[in-house]
Amino acid sequence: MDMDNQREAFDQEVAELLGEVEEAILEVENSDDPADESEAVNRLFRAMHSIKGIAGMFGFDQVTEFTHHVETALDLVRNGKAPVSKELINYVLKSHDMIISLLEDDAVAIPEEGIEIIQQLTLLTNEDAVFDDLEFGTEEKNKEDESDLNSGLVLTYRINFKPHESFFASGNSIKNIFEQLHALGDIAMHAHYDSIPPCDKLDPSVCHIYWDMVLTTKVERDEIMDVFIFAENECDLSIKLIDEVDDDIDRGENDEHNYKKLGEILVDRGALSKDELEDTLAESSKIGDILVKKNLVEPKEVEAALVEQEQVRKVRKTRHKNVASATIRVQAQKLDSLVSLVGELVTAQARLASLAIDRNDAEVSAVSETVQSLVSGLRDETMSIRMVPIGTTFTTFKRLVRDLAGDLGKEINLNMIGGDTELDKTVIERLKDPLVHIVRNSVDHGIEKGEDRIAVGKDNVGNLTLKAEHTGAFVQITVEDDGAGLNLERIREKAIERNLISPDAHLTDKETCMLVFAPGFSTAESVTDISGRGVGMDVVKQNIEALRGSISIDSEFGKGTKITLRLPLTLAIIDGLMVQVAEEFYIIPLSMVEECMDLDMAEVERIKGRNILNLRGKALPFVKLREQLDFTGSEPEIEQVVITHVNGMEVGFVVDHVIGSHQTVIKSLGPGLRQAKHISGATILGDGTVALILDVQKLVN
Amino acid sequence: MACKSMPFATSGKGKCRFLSVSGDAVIDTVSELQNEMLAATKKDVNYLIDLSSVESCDVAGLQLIFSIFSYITQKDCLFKVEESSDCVDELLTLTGMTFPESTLIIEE
Amino acid sequence: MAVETITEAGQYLTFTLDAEIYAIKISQVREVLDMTKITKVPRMPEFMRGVINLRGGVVPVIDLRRKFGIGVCEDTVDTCIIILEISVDDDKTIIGAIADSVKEVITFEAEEIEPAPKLGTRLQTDFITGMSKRNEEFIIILNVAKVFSVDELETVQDINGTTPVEELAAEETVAE
Repeated sequence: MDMDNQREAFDQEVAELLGEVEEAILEVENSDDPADESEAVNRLFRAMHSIKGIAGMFGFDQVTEFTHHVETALDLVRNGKAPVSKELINYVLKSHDMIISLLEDDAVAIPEEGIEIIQQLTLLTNEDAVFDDLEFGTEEKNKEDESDLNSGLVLTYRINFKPHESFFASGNSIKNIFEQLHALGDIAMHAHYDSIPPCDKLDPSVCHIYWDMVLTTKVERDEIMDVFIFAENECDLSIKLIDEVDDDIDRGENDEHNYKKLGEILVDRGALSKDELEDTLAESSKIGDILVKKNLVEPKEVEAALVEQEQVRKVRKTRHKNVASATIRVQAQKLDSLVSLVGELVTAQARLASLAIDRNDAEVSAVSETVQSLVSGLRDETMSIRMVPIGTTFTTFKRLVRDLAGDLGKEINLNMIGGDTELDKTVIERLKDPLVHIVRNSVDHGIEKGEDRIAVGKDNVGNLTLKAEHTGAFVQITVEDDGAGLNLERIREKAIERNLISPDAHLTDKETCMLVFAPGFSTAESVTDISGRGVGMDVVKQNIEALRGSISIDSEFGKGTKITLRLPLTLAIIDGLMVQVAEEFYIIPLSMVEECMDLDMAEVERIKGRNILNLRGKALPFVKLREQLDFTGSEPEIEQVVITHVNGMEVGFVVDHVIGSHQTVIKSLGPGLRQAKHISGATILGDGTVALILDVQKLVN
Repeated sequence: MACKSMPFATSGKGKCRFLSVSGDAVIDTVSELQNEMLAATKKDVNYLIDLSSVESCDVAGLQLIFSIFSYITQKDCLFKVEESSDCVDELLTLTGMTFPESTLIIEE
Repeated sequence: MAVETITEAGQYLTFTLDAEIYAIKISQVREVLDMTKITKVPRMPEFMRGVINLRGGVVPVIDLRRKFGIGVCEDTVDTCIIILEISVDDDKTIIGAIADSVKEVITFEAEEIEPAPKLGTRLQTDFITGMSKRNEEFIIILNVAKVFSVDELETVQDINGTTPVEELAAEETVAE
């Protein structure tokens, strides 16, 4: 792993832990049950402890130190020695934020704000604390700093470094390694690069260069080994100490001779066995031993330092074990290709099935069916890997709404429904910012202050609901509040003012609402820090449309506002219903289909310009796809109707034939066909032709 | 395209082409870059090499650049590195490597 | 990687549309296919013939005759689809274009290419990056990025079903 990968893994790990911290403390705040509360405090403590450990491993000393104090305070709380109070909760939240900024800034010292947090936490948990007890800076060092012990000792190593064929592919970076080596001291490089083949014979993924280097440094061999730690298996590496010179000591005699003699002496005295001596001499001298022998350091100091070193190594090992067993981190790219392959497999299997039928071969048909069910299972598993429940994103809003409402002096109840609705990971990432903006708007401009709400007969606590659900080939996310709603009159005025519409334009209420998405539009009286001047809404719309989704607003003045986001399941393989109209085949998402039947013309009426079918006593409006899709030519004698459930209504679609269910690999249409609003995608059929997937919702509107 | 080759008029003996490499010369791009470089140096003429637009370079990329020198020489043609870029120079220092002597001299 | 935007010397694929020869930089051409079944997408502009299956991917196909406002005609045995790889908004996209026939790959040197003329062609001038001549025949070098840009692909057609270019052409002939 090169530096970037390491740092990435660290960032991810820390982000997860910080998320746990935030969740846990919010739970502590909101829980009524003391058992739940204490469980949450424990989780909080453990997360904080883990952050301390991992920060220490990566050299973030300030974070380690800061977190140590927070951990101490939390320890007292979880042992019942200190109470949970509102101030404590607030300071823990502040600690969470401080840790983030310490990591970002990688500061040399903890800023005043941080020190204040620590002081407050200590006060809140330990009334007897005296601030002299808390010392910041050099006293509490978790990271061993051997170079301090080393001053005056200059070591020279010969390093031979020959990358294997697989070196580049392993993600290691020679450049990074050399940068680190150069930082350790003076280095004389000798590169062997005569055997680089000419360009036409070159395999560029293989490294044809190797190096001999001489490094003069003050660091121990282990530190040099660390530079190569992730590349160890990908190269031939040898690091030999060839000279050590102690600048401080008189070099009257040959040091090496002295050293050996001492060793021999120890053997003679029985303090050391011959084997031990050989071993010690064979590897580079352990600095601890040298210093003890030179009486520069007490043996127990060395021992303590060694224990610390061992500790870190153990922690590192345990950490790796824990992480390894629970989950595996996978690069998103690898998942992409896996999903792609599964998609191709589904298509190939469809082809196989179609061929089996053509050739009327029962055996092949049987195998084809087996393959189909296996592919189905594979498809489900693969899709589920990339899909992440949106609940985790929703949870981050808890903190946002809490803080925001608090700042504005409003009380808001946040409801979250459908948190287990799954979306593709990348779509969720890109949804975060737009959703934050929408939620902020609701809290800032939507929901009124407590007294205003009471004045109009509402409960003083406002309600904000985040909801997510699957509808066919889409996911629908709604943000609904019971706040002030949109003032359509004012919107109209502003729009005319800004020349977005002409004064005599006739707009429906819905169209007026949509004006809010026009660039530069805002009806906020004042520019608030919180959500700005409404410059965001048009950007939000753009972001959603970039995901090939759509956004709409529904509002009733005085009652509330509902914003609906519709996003396609981009990487979906869905169950579709294949239908035929004229020569072409189309797919209707099966999840929206209720039933299919022959169209009995006797039951058809035209009421108010709409086609209505009498379905077992119910009036069912229907749409003739032949017309909708601009087909000329005449329909067959008996047509069929597919009854679908759309937007809470039932609508029928009349087609020539219903073919049957079909595993549909959704292929994106590409930029040129973005205009095709009634088509949500395409798929490849078993015989290689393209079938279009109908956007049922759009067709209905 | 990260590798362009254009005719260059010179009063000296033999035809000459400018070879310019731009963008990223790193492990992720070397495969494609190799194809482009070979295509750009297909002609058996002399090459003036301009690396000033190379934005990032790692050992894999550097190795590729060296292999192009070798390729040109192997065809009994001459080359000269006209310009280099900071990232290339830094990497040369870091790895203790130096560009081979130019074999081509341009007469003005 | 560096992006080239100006007409350069290099290799071009030439093809014909209604007896005129056009050229596209070879680096943007992925492959050339024989005419194949095109699935029509309803309610699309006339020049959008539909989509095809290209090894599992769905690729839109543009009818260049309709796009450029040249008269339409029946497909012949020589009609083929040129598959292009273009950058649209930082994404690489694959689009197909129908040609009457595909000719050869020609190499142009920089001095052989002249800037697009202001008048005298049937195309919108920003569709053309340059002109050249080979064997007494004119070759029009297309600005692929513009012809297949997002704006062009999403051109709204008016009720007549013609694109603005076609209308302009119609007007010109009337004026004559």
